[in-house]
Amino acid sequence: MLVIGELINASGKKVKNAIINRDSDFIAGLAKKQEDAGADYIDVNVATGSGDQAGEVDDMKWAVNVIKEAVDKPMAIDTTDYNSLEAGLECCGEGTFINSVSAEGERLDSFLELAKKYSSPVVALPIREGIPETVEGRLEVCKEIINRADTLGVQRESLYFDPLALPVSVDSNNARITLDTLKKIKEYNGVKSTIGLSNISYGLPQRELINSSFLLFAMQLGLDSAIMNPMAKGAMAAVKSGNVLLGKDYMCAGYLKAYRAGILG
Amino acid sequence: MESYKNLAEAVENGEEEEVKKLVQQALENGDVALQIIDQGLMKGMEVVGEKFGKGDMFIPEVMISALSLQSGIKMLKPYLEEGQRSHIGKVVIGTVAGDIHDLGKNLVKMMLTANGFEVIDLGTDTPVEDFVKAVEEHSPEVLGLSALLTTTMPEMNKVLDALKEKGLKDQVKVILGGAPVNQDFAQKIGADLYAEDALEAVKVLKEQVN
Repeated sequence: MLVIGELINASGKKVKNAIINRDSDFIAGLAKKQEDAGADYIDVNVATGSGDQAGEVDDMKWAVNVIKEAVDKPMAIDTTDYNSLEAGLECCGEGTFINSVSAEGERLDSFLELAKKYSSPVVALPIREGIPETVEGRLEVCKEIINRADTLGVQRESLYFDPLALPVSVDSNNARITLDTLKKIKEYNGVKSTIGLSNISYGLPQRELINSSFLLFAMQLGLDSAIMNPMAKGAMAAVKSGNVLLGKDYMCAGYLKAYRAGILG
Repeated sequence: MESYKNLAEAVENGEEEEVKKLVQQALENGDVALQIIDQGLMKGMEVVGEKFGKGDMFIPEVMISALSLQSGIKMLKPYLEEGQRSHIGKVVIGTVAGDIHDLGKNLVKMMLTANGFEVIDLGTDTPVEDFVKAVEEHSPEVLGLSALLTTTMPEMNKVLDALKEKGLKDQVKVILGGAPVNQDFAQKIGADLYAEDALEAVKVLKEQVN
């Protein structure tokens, strides 16, 4: 189970200010902390909303270079803007995650072309004119994306479908729908899965409890990765213990390593 | 009055059937509809808003309270006299075109409803012309625009331009929200108001309608 560390995201005030003020120590520190906590990829979102598109490209170049210096982990370029994505991939090279594509608008083909060029794994969201409410609706969009990827020659193994976790606080069926969607995605040949985790617990107290329980359910269905806060010890402990219990951690080596690193809680 | 206190509590606890029963009793008692709303239903919802703000109540509870409130208001609407309103202001709200994020917008909608506003929700991925049409049709005091992507923020600009073009800009206050949006941006594109989060939106809009 790959962990994509989500903390470098300009929707948070501190990160936003650090990007605007070019505070490389702050960004490098946040990357390092996530690496230490067990993140396999470092997500980079620089959408501060204060600059124009050209500004966002500059912000992306700056941020990925700072992170490249600070850690040994590959990155996930988190943007809806083609030029920012291209700039990020160019700096980071092959194997960098693309976060994300969907079936909305024009983005799908151009992003998939970049995925092919850079052998990038891609987070794929089953969204088209909004989020389909039903499992069937989401799967239909997944199929559309798979078809486009097949046509453009993008490997199925590089598609990481996100079954879209929506808050259970808003509708009690939301987790069920997400898990059922995940189960069906796992039946498609070759494709992989991921999940933006923290949304599920929005609006509830003790979010960590909901996040880690949900993660375990998803892992049992074969979840391949999660976009999450690696410094949240509960969720990280769920990843490590889940791997052990699902037979994905030979001789419990990963679990014991995490124990010694003090990241199990 | 004791019965209004019970009604307020029923709203706070999200007991829809109890709310309906108490509203019915008050009507049979000959109480004035507006009074039942102001002193009973809305009082309960005010408490909900306060508790939510302090983290003592949570989204599912606020939703159930808001549903109970709406059932009560629905029963009372036919009894309101001409010119009396069941709400303190009208807001049209929506996420701009190309953007399907609705968590924040829905929270704002919920909190505004909870605080006595009538909210007309245009949903997500809303084309410019739909915002304009809704302003023409509903004549709201306020139009709320939400965007969660830097790539969809320019849509807010387009909505403002379209309102100006139609001569509607002076009839409605425009408030912006969404993670990448800020006060500077709102000012730059000529929006009237900006709110950082749902609670601030309630505060800012209450000042507007008072």
